[in-house]
Amino acid sequence: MKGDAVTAPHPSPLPEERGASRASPLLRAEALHKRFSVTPSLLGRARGEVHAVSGVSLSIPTGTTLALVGESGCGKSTVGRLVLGLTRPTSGRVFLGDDEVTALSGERLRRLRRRMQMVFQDPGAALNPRMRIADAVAEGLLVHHPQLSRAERQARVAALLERVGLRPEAGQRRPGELSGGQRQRVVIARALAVEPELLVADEPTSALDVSVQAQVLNLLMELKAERGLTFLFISHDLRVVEHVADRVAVMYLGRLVEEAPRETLFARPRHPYTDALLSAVPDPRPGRRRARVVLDGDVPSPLSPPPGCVFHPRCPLYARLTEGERARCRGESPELRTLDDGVPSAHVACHFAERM
Amino acid sequence: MPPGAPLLEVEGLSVSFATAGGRLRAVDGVSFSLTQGRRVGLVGESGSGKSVTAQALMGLLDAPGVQVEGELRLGGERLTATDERRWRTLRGNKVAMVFQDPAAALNPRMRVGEQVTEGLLVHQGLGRAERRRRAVELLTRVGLPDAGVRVDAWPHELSGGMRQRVCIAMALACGPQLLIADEPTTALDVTVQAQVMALLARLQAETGMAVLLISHDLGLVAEWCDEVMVMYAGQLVERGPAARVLTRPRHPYTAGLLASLPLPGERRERLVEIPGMVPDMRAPPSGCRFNPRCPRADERCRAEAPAWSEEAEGGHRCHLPLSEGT
Repeated sequence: MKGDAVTAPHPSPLPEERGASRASPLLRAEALHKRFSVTPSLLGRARGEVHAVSGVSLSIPTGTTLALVGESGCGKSTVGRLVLGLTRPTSGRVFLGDDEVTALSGERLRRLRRRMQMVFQDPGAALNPRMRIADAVAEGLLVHHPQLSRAERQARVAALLERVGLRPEAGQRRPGELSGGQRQRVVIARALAVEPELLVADEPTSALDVSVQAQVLNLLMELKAERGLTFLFISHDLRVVEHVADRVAVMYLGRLVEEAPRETLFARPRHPYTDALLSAVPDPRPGRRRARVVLDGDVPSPLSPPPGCVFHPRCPLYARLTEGERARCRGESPELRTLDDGVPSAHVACHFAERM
Repeated sequence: MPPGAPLLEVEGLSVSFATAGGRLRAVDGVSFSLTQGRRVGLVGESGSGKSVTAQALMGLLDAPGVQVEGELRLGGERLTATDERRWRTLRGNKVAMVFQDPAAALNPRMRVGEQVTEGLLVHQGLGRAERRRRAVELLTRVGLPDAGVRVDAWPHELSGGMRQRVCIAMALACGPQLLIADEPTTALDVTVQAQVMALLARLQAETGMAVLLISHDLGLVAEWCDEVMVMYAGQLVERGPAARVLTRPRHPYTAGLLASLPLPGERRERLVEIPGMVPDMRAPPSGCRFNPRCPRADERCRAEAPAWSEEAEGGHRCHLPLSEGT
């Protein structure tokens, strides 16, 4: 690969985020907020506002993977879109290296986007059904490397298809002639074509069969090692996350509730929600599962989140607190903080995390 | 029915569909039996034929272009695919089903209380007040919060988890002996999935019904089922007690599936891959259907389709099974 895309990471001009490792981050998101207004619907609901993302800060060191975890509607995919500049935040800033994504628009944003690519859950929807695979992969090259000759472009496309495990003949096919796993390989090849530094992968294996999921995960991990790629890996599947992540951030109702190194988070979750999520993961080895914490109820509507800590109505820890302590959970929204437990790189947003 | 006799017997079930590209045999010679009170998992990837098998067990395959062969006996009674009148009586009363997508399974223009008791109306001829009382009772039993109020709710006013509870109430309204749950939690979040599976476990224990849980998730099946059946390319390839199949699989496909899963607490550099992909069922491989992807396959596997080998507990369809000891 040519070296033009591999920019050396610059030292951060701003004070380091809490939780960032000492290596300078490739991606930084600072206090992101995103509100969507909800128009009156046929169901007669009042006009309102959904606070989809509430004060989320992230920092991903170059060459590492941050997994963003949560259930549907928690705001994780919106964070992915904010990072890519596909959606504008209501407030907050996103930096890729020294460049502020949130300050750019038009042509300058398009140029920056070459450095960050995406892989989504449904590879069928991501590909134009009428475009041949080779043309789909070459598209980004045409936009970002117009100086390449036709032959150079074809050679690059062939090399990319081979790298993601597709035969050269696949280039002449159309998406409908490929399986789901093959289509996801095409999407990955297309993303790699422009030599990005950051890959945002939103549920990249959720639509794939179990036997194919392992192939795609292995491919992504190889590419990370081989090209020094940095990943924002968005997933609801904690088994996959434990396999791919260096750090893990857990979201609930638009907020980060915990952010920690992978081993720390899986070995000893500090937030009661993380604990419940981990215990709900089915384990194929009979008798090997954690003691299950079954949460009551559903995730509340983001239209009217509970006051104070948004998790308190479902929190198993809340049930064990005194009335005075509970008043604090209901009245005061907890900030992310470190505990005095010898793991300064783990952050949790819970007033009573010490009781876990 | 004598105690211990199988509730459901399936012998040589085959289902094929007429497609533009020729006849597609989605299910090919599946035989098994289910005993009262058991929880059995049916595992497979997309296109394995597991959902079509379920549809056959519900008598839902009486359609042009669909050919169903083999024998089905429910509580000793022999059933054919085309006897729609008989199936209408059996569905709900003897065998009921819960689907993956509760939103699609509910009528959006009918209040949930009415839907839950629709079966009762057909089968037991109840009056209005009695029907409503029963609806609240059924919805309370499946843990729908504020059932007395939500009985009048529309499906869209409920969350996904609540809708699935309504579907479960609907399925259990007439006390079926067999519940088929086809990916019942796949569309739900993991914490809600845990709630729904705990509910199904409680209801299964209370009623003593048999449950056939169809899933692609080996973890879910491992935790929930007494027995597991594994399907690949339209055929049953392995069957046995869950604890045995998931720790000492006999079929290389089962072993491959297990090895390809990321396991909690056991991070590996690479996941074990099953190479290739599931075959096109319009032209399945000759010999053993798994042979092109199988690390153990030899000449015989490529030439000759393995027959089902019955073993002490369960069985498999493989010329070169993994040893029982490992």
